[in-house]
Amino acid sequence: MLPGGDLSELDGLLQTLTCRVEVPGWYRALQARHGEVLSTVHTDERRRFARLHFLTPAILECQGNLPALKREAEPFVVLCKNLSRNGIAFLHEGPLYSGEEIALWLPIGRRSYVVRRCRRHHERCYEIGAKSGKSEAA
Amino acid sequence: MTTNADQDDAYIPVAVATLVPATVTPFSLFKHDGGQYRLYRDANFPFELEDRERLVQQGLTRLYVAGSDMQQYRTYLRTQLDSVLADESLPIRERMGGLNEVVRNVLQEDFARGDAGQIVNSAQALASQTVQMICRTDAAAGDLLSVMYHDYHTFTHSANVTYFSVLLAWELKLPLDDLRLIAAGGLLHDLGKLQVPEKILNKNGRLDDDEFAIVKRHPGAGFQQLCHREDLTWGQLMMVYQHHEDFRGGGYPVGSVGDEIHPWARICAVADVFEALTANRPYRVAMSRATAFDLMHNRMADKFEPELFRCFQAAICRN
Repeated sequence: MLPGGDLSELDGLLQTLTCRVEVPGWYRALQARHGEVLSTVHTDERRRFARLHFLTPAILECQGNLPALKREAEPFVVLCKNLSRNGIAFLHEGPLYSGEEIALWLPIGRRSYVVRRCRRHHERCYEIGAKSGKSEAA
Repeated sequence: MTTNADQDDAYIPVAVATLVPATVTPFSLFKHDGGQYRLYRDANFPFELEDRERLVQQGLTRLYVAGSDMQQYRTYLRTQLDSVLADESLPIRERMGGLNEVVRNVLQEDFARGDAGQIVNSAQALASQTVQMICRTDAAAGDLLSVMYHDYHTFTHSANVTYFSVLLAWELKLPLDDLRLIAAGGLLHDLGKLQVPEKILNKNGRLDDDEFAIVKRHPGAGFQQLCHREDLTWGQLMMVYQHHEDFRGGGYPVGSVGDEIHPWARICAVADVFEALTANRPYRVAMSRATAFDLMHNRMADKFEPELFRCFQAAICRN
């Protein structure tokens, strides 16, 4: 059993929710070319840890930890892009903000992250980069 | 009694309008007379209304304080600021000058300490007074522009962006409470630059790609420092985070478009660029207002909400 719930529970939840991310063409091309999960590791990037392509849907929950930003407690379907030892990148239908604490239900289990970056691809597609762990409040 | 003051000590001009009658000034005051600085009033002597009236009659709007006494003067000015601003017998321009001195001085000290919490406290403390002075039917943009500094220090830039933002928000007839919040947000908008090395901020030339990448982090860095506070609104945080977003997209850090950018951030964006163009930089001199508006209209139109730009230009050019 995976921590935070098993895979069938995640699949069941994904069946009931609608993914509202407007998937960009490059993401579809990546899926079509390589399949949903890749074992390719890019070692030529100047990154602290290697990244794995991880093209799979997941469930996002925002923890609402920023005092000035009211978040509804609703789950969202997001599309993971890649995964590393201490972070993750995924596509979401709206912006998230640096310092926001989020939880992601992934096929490998439930994980807590803190948003580090956000970049808009188009109106309903934002690429979010997040780091494992909890926020360090200033 | 007149005394020739030490010629090696720097003397800083201070506006007579910032000396409040019936107060004791803890610093000596000097006149500049015939190429020399002569003692006008020793420290810890009262400054009376008749003294000010006599100086005005003589046409003297400036006295001088020794450089070593400037900290005393700044402390005095901060504690007396409310009196200065409320003194209807003083020209608007003089009162704005007093406000600007305090705002810049406070920011300069806070930025030098690098204490984000203190900067927030100062911004909130000064916001009401800033709005009080700028949002007056008897004040003209020219009064404000005449007392502003145009150096490239972050604290000067933050003060000026605040004034321009409040001016624009008032032109847009936003509520008074919003104006105060916008004033504080303006003072905070470049907080993230505390994390940018000074040699990059003050570089005498164009930034290379790596340096620009570092500078582009400052909106996110400022937001991260402030986002957990409970005494800032989302609009203020967005002034910090989104003031480099372009109205038609392609800005940073996110690349947001149009209404995705908070209205207060759109206000701050106009003020920020105008201030940057009309201030001196290490690599170029300040542009005139006309040249700056021309550039913003013809070469940077994608960055700004058109109506906001039009209102801002009207407010600045009105007087």
